[in-house]
Amino acid sequence: MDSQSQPFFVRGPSAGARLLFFMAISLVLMVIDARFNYLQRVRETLTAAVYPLQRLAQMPGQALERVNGFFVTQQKLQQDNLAIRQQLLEQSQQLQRMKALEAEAATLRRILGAKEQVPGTSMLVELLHVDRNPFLRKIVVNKGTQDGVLAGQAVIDADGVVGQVTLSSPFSSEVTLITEKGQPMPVMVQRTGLRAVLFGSGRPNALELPFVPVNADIENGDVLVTSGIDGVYPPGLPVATVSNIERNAAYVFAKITCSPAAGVDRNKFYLVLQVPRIDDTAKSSRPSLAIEKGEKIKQVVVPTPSGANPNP
Amino acid sequence: MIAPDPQATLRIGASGRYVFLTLVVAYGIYLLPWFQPFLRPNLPLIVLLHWCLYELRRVGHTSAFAMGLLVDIADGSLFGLNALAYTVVLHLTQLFRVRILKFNLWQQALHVLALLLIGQLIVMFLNVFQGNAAAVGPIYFLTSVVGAALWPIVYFLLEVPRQRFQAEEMQ
Repeated sequence: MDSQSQPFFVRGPSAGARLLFFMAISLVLMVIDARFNYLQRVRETLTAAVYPLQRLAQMPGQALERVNGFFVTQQKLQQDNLAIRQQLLEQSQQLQRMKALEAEAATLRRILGAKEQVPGTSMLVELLHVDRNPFLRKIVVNKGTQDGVLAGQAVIDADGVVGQVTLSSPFSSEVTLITEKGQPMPVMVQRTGLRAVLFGSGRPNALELPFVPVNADIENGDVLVTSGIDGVYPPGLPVATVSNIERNAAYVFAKITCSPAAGVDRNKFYLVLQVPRIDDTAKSSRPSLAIEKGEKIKQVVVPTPSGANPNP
Repeated sequence: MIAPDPQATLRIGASGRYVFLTLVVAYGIYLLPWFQPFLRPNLPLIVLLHWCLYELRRVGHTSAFAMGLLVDIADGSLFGLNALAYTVVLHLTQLFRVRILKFNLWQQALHVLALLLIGQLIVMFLNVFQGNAAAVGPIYFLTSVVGAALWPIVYFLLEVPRQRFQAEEMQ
């Protein structure tokens, strides 16, 4: 111990003064982080700095997985092979139908004089970890700006929309799930074409559809798809299924609960849709806060005429 | 990673290096993918409290604040949220340090439980204030109980290698 070399009396401000100082800094930081976007760069830099440690922390689990993979029996492999071949068959059939439908849709669209949809590229990402804050519904995935994953891009899995990239550092990015409390998303009821805005509820498997009139034509089991008018999510992706409707004549709006179509909390791999950036509505890193401002929600819901397709 | 403030906490020296190392390891463990988030002990804070009690010169408000910021990064929460909680908890620990040290390890664990709960309450309050009042029940506070239960183990894990580490440094 080298306590001899230390000054006996601690110099500098008193403990209380330090506490107040750091409390003030924390509060200022929180306000800046919540209200403005100045700290985005700092956060990205620090996230990149912590990245090696994060990778290190992932290693034991990955090693375990590799060892497990080594001891898979041949029988299991054969079973898996069979199942996968069957699945392939079924899906190729579906794909053929899909191609026909796509061709048909393209013709129709041309007839309507509508522009072609942008066939955006997509990038397979892997879940790194789930954010530890139990109040937030966010995950961190293993691709970042180096691979072209940018804030604002939509994230999907095989069954539907999962969320949106809200922060990207060089080697990893943070995805806000659609279940995050107050995360808005413009949707459309597939059966009727009714447009609405879907909100996350903060609970893992529930979404809310708050502003639909009591007498609207919507039923249990209706499928909600993205309407595409926000310029973030391409239209037509399944988002959720209506699971419960409470109509109370005393209120203007029905209380509608939906369950997400995608395995929002269950997957390990996701697809990031790299649709060319259309406008900056998606830039806001904290959608839950953006809602509180009236003008921003308008931007999300109402399509901007110029925002349809800048570079088809 | 922790600010090298000459005034504070992590001065150059054998013990300082060891304290720094343990904090990095605690943070690394905090980053591990945890099977059940409500069972994850808040190890960075527990290790900070340990050093605050047993090595007062090494950790202070600055290191608590810096560690809190790093935890904010890991948590994806607002900048300064955990930093605030960490600083307050460390300050309280400093205030009650002499008293806490008079008890044995299990009785200390009860004090640590109270301190960890205060930290969680601050974090919860700030989250609710921010509008993230998601559904977290009483199970949210389970991490503090787990953390307090780990206190004696943390004591031995930190103190036994420390003596060996410092013996090597002396040679």
